[in-house]
Amino acid sequence: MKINESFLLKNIAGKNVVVPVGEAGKKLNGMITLKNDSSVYIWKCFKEDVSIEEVADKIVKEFNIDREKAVAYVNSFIEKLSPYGVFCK
Amino acid sequence: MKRLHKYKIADLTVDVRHNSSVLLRNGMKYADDSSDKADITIEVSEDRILKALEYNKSFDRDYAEYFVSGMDFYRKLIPHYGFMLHSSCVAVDGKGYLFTADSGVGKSTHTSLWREYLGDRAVMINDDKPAIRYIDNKFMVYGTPWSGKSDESSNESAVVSALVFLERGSCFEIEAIPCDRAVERIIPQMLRYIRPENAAIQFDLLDRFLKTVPSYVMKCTQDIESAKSAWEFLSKNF
Repeated sequence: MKINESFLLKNIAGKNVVVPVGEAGKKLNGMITLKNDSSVYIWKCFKEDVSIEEVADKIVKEFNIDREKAVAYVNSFIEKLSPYGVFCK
Repeated sequence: MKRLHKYKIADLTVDVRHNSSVLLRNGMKYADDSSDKADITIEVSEDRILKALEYNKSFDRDYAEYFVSGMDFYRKLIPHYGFMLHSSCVAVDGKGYLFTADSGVGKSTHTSLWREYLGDRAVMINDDKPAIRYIDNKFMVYGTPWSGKSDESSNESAVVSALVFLERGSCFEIEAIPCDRAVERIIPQMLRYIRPENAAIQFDLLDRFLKTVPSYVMKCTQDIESAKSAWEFLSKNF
């Protein structure tokens, strides 16, 4: 799974926001705020084409949490952002 | 062949080839007869005018060309360290106050009350889409010919002094908000369709803008007392 390059993560005035550019702007009217460090980290992982398991592995190492929690974070992230079309088909 | 009109807008030389009576009228204040090379050139194809007419049933041909040329201007403004903000901007003594909100909340009403209260001291820079540019280490706000249906704009500029998010309220309240709370409120009031090559500049500008210009949330009624209170509060803070 990989994030569509038409969605950019920018830190604007202290807020981590995902903004659509180009064609994606027609579907997402506005922006999405990433409210915590784990979301930002997961976003950056999905800039490459990776699997959910690979991202979960990275989270376990980076945040020192158990795998079950890590997988839950990743799934929650995907569930929240997929409706906006941020992932490549 | 559309006629070439030269304008000076936001300290830039802008060449527009058009046949729009609306742009002709609104552009008169900005007409420039110098032979300076154009910083921005605009020509809207008939195709795009037709498309605009399809999407906006209330437009006629001249208004559609006027509208689309405006969108082109604000897009081409970005590489010149500028951006558009859907807002009403009133200036007093060279300081520009931006009032932003969704359509219908009362931005124009509020700024017109400033002019009622302050008379000639208050200047309407642009009632709908002022151009903002980062020049000489500060943010300047400019009038443009593209000022919405009421054509309220002046060929003037001011230093941006405050960004106010307006809401309707039953009494007057104003609070300063930290820049991160302004981010979510301001983005919907900016250009929606950003070209990928402009994205970096647009967002860097926005980041700098919110860190430089103080932001406020203001709730008020639509009367001259609110204009008085807003003016007194905002002018004191500088």
